[in-house]
Amino acid sequence: MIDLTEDRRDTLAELLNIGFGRSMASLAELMGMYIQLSVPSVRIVHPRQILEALSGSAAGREEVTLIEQTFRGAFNGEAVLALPGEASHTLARLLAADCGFNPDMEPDKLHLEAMLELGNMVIGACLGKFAEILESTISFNPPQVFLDSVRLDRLRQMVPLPDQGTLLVLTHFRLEREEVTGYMFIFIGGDALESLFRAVDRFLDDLAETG
Amino acid sequence: MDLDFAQIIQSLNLGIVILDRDLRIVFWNRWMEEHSRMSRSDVLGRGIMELFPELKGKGFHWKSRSVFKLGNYAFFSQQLHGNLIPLPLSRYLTSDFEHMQQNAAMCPLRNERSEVQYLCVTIEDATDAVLYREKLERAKQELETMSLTDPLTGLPNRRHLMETLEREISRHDRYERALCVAILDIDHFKAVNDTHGHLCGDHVLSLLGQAFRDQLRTYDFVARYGGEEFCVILANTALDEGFRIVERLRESVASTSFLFEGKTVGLTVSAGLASNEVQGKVTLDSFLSRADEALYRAKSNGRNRTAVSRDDRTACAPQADPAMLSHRP
Repeated sequence: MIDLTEDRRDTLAELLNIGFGRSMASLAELMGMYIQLSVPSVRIVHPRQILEALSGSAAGREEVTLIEQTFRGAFNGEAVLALPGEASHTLARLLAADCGFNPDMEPDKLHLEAMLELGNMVIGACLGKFAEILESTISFNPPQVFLDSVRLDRLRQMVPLPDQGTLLVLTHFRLEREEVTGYMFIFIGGDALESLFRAVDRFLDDLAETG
Repeated sequence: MDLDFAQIIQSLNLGIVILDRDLRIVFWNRWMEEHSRMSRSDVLGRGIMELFPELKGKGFHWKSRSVFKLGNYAFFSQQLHGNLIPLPLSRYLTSDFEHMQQNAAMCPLRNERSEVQYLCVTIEDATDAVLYREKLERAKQELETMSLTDPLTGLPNRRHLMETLEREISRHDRYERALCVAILDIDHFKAVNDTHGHLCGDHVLSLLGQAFRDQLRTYDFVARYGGEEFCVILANTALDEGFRIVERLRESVASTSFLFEGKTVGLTVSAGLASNEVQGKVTLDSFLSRADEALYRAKSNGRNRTAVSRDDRTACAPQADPAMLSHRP
């Protein structure tokens, strides 16, 4: 398993925080509401632990809506936005009522579309800005949503688990006004992790040169 | 190698539209020309929302704003939207769709200052994939129905019965409700086949299946269990009521004349009945074998009667209706 030294982890967490900070302003402008994102934890875990982290972070709640999106570029990986309990419904309503995202669709499809768009926006903005800081770009595949009250025992079958060590970035995101809390997990495994670290190291080198 | 990239973009089997910040079309590749029947000169400089008003109902404006602001990607999935831009189908023979089914995406194009200057919209024809998916889905459903249905009687088959009974046992166990199972077997069925032929036998089985179905309550379940055997699951039903229901079925068979090619065929059935109100854990196997044991007794006591499983008789012996123990018409 790849060693994540404290220095590297701190740098990574800091860069992610900066990236997410920048994306917050854009998201707030776009949605007309303030989204708070923070990166309290960056860890290298064994794939098995990911499920535990997922279930642990859903705050013991049984039901969780997952929006998953894979990305590729300087580093490849998979991001998952997890919304416990009622949060997905609250957010879908907000998106339609306050943010004007209201395509002309049947209610069931609209809810799916709202979840996809929310996941797409939050994941895209956060990772996009993060990649920008590292002066690289990443592209995104269409998101998928697992909506019908996913139970954690079913996650085991759904979440594909690579063999190698995986970088797990745990993110809290909170909508101030609505007190909605969600979690974002970023999985970056094996080879992609090496290229991420190279990008981080390059960034640090550049910083040292200009500084 | 000296490559002409514009030519590549023109030859792709993919629609490509580039939009400026006002959502005016600045590029429209050949795929778009061919499928929309609108040439580049028809559309360049025109606003895409005016050209295709249906985009308003698809959240296009919102998503394009998000791509300009966040620099992210945006997607329009076929499963939710059907299509992004209504284009005619490229083939007519195989499809029920009015328009081409599409997966579409939007991605940012940046200038040298890294600002998002244009939107690139890509449109992929997903019609064939959707048709295959739907065909597969239909075939799967047909197979599922087939795998659970007895072709002769149209009743649920033995596999379906086992799945249902398993579920019903645990459901009734959970809510502590009474559940009855009966096996009904045609008496001397071999004689029917020998006297009137196998076609007559098949016909009778099918009529009997329909008669049972018609006489039972909608929430009861009747399946073809084996050759000339039917199995009935009576939900929320205690033994005495179950006995009456099965007796009614038996009597109606005995009093019906079945017609086959102008000939009248008289039939009787024997039935074995078991309930879940017995000592010990009721399993699928134990339930069916108790009903089977009762059926065997109904047969050996002279046929055309209903017998109750030995365990059930022990469990309710004091209050039992003596008729239930071995009913003689």
